[in-house]
Amino acid sequence: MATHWYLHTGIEMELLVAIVDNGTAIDAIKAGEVITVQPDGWGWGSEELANANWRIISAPILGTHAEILQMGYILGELMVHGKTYPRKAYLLNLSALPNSSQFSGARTAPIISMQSTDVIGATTKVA
Amino acid sequence: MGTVTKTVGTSSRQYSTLSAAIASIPSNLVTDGNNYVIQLYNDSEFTGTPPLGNVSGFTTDASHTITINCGSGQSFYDNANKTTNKLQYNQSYGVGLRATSTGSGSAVIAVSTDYVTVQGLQISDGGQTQAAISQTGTATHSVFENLVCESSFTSSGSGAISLTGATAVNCLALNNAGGTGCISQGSNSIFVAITSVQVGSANNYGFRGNYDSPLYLDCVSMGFGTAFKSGTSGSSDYNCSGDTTAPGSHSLKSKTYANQFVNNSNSSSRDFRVKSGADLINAGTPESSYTGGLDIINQTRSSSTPTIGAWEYISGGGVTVNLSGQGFTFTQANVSEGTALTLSGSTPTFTQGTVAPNFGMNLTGTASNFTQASVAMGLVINPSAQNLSFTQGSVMPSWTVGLSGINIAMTPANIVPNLGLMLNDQAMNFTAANLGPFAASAFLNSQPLNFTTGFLNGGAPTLPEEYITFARRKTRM
Repeated sequence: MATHWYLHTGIEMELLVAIVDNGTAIDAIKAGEVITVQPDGWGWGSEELANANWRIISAPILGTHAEILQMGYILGELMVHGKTYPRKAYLLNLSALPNSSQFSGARTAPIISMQSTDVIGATTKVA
Repeated sequence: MGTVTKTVGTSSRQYSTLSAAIASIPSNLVTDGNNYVIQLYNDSEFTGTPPLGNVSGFTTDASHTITINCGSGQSFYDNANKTTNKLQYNQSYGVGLRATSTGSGSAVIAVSTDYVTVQGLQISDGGQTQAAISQTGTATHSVFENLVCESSFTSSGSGAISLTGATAVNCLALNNAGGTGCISQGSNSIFVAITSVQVGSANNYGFRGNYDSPLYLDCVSMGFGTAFKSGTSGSSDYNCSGDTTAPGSHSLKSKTYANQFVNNSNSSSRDFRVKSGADLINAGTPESSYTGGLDIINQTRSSSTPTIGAWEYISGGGVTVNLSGQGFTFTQANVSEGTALTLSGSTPTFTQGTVAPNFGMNLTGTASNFTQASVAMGLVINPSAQNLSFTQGSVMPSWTVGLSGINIAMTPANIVPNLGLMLNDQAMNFTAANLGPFAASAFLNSQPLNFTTGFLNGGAPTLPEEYITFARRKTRM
């Protein structure tokens, strides 16, 4: 099915993304996790702009896609089954993003701009 | 071993979101060797898709912990008016976190790491049918204390506070949608001094243990279909319920909801401070090993017979305050009484003060002046003073206002009683003032009564109109 650009264009948002795993636990922060999504022009704190393990992506994504990227497992599942689940249901495949070299090593730009289709294309459901 | 503190607020802080501050903590605190404290600042309300904070995947122990609390002076329990503020979610009182979209069904704050303490926050699901705070997994040493938690979850499967073995102390757990207040799932959670209330339809549970037997001490549950679901620890005691389910031989049962709290309505007026005469007062047992001898706003609890629930009732200056001197002045003062405040002196003056007794206020002095003062009454205000003047003040009794003084001026003051307004004065002047009795009647028998740019919202006012002058506005029925 053809992909229509207008289906993927929302308002400009800023995504704070982890680029490395923070530990090995199943429910630890993983590379590609969207830590938070905020509106364009958000006043980030000094550590959020400087942390070498994070990047900020600016892209015009839909609000529904922003919610998907922040989804975890529902509380009922967590309480009833007592099982450890990953923090998020979806991650960004950093190697699938344009200029993927920006997502490793030193942080060279405080905010990286890209298209909504780039973010959508890199969105991957956690197994 | 040290303590690393991270600040969260607007861009002047290290972090703008709780999520990022949590994500910055190293995964293994034991090998890292530090405790971590995340301090939130009330620079603005924290909003977004839940979870606004998710503490998971960290290795901790009793000496390497994570604490989420408020910066100095930032919590609702630090507020200068904490004893007179309504006990409800209100970000103007202190740090508040509120969900603004449904998300995936996570709580607003989710904790699955052990040895986590969450303290002093106000947490609301913002009508998004989520839990306010949850603990899952084996985080049984985690503690949630001094929290205001509001939820609109509609079923029994989750509560404003949802635990699987942790401890909650000194919290308000409010549901406004017929759901559950607090739930413990499978791991015998501990609830101490919790006020669990329903302001929506009377369904589900105030406290629900699901496949376990939680411990309940000094907890109150009101407004639910069932206050305490069966299956409780045999050590539970000194609780209170609106039905017959409160566990423990010393517990209070079948008590009237409306008699316990200042306001239990499903409205912005709701206020779960304990009111004078409540059954909860002096009916608890000291559990200072949990509470530290303090209540939800850090008031000292009775060392022998504390109040059941999150709020310790303190009679303060006495049930009744009678001021009969001359020329007493309240400047940026707050007067909060349980029953009555009687001012019979001359020229009492309130300047930017708040007077909030629960029941009655009698003003019989001469030349009482309220400047930017608010008077929120429970039942009756009977100022028979002469030259009573309200300037940018508000008078909000619940039942009746009787103004029988002479030369009463309201500029531009508001009078918002719920039921009745009786004005029997001479020469009353309302300038840009609003009168808004909601239900029963307004009896205006004054002469002459002048409204200038004000309006009268009444149910069925009796107006001897030959004496009443409206300039620019008339009645709005």
